[in-house]
Amino acid sequence: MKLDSARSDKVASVIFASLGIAMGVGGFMMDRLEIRQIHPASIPGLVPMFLGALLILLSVILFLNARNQADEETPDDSPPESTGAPSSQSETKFTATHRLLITAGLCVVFAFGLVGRIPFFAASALFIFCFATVFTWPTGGMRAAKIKSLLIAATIAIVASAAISLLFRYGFLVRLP
Amino acid sequence: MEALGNLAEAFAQLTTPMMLFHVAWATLLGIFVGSLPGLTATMGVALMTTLTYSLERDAAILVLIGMYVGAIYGGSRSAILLNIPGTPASAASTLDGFPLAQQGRARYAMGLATAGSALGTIVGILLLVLLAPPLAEAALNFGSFEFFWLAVFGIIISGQLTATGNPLKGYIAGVLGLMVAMIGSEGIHAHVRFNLGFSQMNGGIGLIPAMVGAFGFAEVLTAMQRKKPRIANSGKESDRSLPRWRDMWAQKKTIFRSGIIGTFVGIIPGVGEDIGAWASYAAAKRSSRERESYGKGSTEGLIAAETGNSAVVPGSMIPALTLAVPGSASSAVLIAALFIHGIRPGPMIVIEQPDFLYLVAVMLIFATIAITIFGLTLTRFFVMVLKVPREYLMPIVFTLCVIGPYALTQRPFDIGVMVVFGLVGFLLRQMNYPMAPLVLGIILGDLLDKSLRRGLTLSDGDLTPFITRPISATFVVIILLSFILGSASAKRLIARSLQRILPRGWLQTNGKNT
Repeated sequence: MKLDSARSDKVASVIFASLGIAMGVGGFMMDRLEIRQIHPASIPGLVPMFLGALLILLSVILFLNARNQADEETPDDSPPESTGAPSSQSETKFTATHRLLITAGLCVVFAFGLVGRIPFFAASALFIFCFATVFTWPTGGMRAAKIKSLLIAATIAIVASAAISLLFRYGFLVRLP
Repeated sequence: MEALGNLAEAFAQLTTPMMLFHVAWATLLGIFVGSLPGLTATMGVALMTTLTYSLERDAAILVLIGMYVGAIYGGSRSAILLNIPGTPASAASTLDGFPLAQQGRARYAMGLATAGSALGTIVGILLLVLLAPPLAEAALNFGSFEFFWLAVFGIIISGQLTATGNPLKGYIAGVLGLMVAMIGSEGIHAHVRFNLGFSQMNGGIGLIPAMVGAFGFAEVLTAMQRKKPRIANSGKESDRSLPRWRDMWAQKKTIFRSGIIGTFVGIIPGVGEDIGAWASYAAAKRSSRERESYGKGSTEGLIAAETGNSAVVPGSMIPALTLAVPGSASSAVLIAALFIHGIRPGPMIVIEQPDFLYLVAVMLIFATIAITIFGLTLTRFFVMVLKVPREYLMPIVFTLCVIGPYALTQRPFDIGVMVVFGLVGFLLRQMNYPMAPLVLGIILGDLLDKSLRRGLTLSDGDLTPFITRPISATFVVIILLSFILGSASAKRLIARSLQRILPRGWLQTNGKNT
């Protein structure tokens, strides 16, 4: 689904309206601190209630705009990414969506799966190595090119993660995760 | 005269070998960050905040300002050579910068961009020194009612000016930012709101992890998703990088006008450098005798865009320092950094730390000198920088995005905040929601919340003072006007009215120039 389209605006408006309802209800149900005898106009839920209502209103306008826009829109029949010659190995192998998903996947695995479970130096070196290798791995069967790609990725991974770890550990006295 | 004395004092205080070393490396790193598509000024300043928290106050702020000025300037390198703005601030520079590069005049274009950026920053610094103290003194009269409207004004105007096409998406982004600010302990009764059962959220969502996510991780995803750019011819051997004095003198009006426009755009909350560049470019084109050459390699157009975006930097510092309201996304991070280093931005700054405004002005001057020297002498080096493969650079950037926010609080929770904000920020950007109002919402949420409830308590629940006090009433009128004028139906109504009043064909001829 194209993310800047009437359809995605409709989906977003539903999500935003739900968020608005959640915040509005949350604000309404929030403790009014009567026990502390605070002024009724200063209850903690006041602004969340107001913001919830405002987001619901904006979501409705977004939905209506998207519905009007959908009537005017023509189907997009242009090929998504086929124009222009690919300029690098990663562009030959992967489409934009693939590149995005691989990047997001690697980053999330690094942040939630590796950091904190193994020493930071090893985690970051492994992440940088995998990232660089995936995107620079030669598509042909040339062995020398593959070894070169691995060596460059390994060197960059070790040097960069060592530099970052040393800088934060000894430069900024941070206890690394 | 007093201002000059204060400036001289600040100059003497900062002119030490260590400070000069800091400004040199930070500005150079800033140019590096700005010149690489995928690394923005806000991301650079946010990451640098995590790296400078152990430095002493003046050194840390100097490094951040060097990074900010350098990155905004550095964006022009890729705008000229790749036709891709290194930062959004340089989008207008691609229009004439890239055609100049295609004509084999890339080095000269980079020289002009350097001179334009330096002069734009100087104009902005002059206005910073002139405007910031009286603005802060005027803001001392602000009460809760006025601060409430200031926060609303910031969100509305930022949402309207930064949204591409539909201001509604800008407003939604602003409201989402305000909602994020509602998380955690509120500022009046210390009641914890919306912590969703996580004790780590009792203190609220940290601005730095959120910014590193929305501007760092989201940029990594954007950079990896798009096609790899190709570098244009970096210049003929005969091409000179030092702009001719007579060429610059011929552009004096453009430079002065763009500097003033850029600074005032910077003062408007949450608008930022890209709008400064576009507004300056449009104004220069409208008043130019050679407007047909715009978009085809006009030196005047390039200078207007670069002067405009650079002047926003000191301009954005004016509300940031005097009202604690950021003029741009990068200055929002700077506000957070100021708090980390024990400086409380806001109207009281003229009473508590009056010399600090002048220290910032001198720091900006140092950074301007640094970009001029580096920009004119290291042209070839910056061309090489653009050749660094993103496949090697982006994982290193993401590693810094992970460890940077963690280093500030030593909480793994902040890594999670960064990742969530990165993914959500990326999706929102793809759907054309601007990030600046979201950031401004996070910053201004607390001010809006406290001011509204405090004001209502003072007035015993009466809303009248919110609209009858003179400054509040002025804010209300400005907000209503900007809201009405920004709506599509109002624009159509104005256009129809003008068509009836003005001679036939006037709108067509003049509309093209805007």
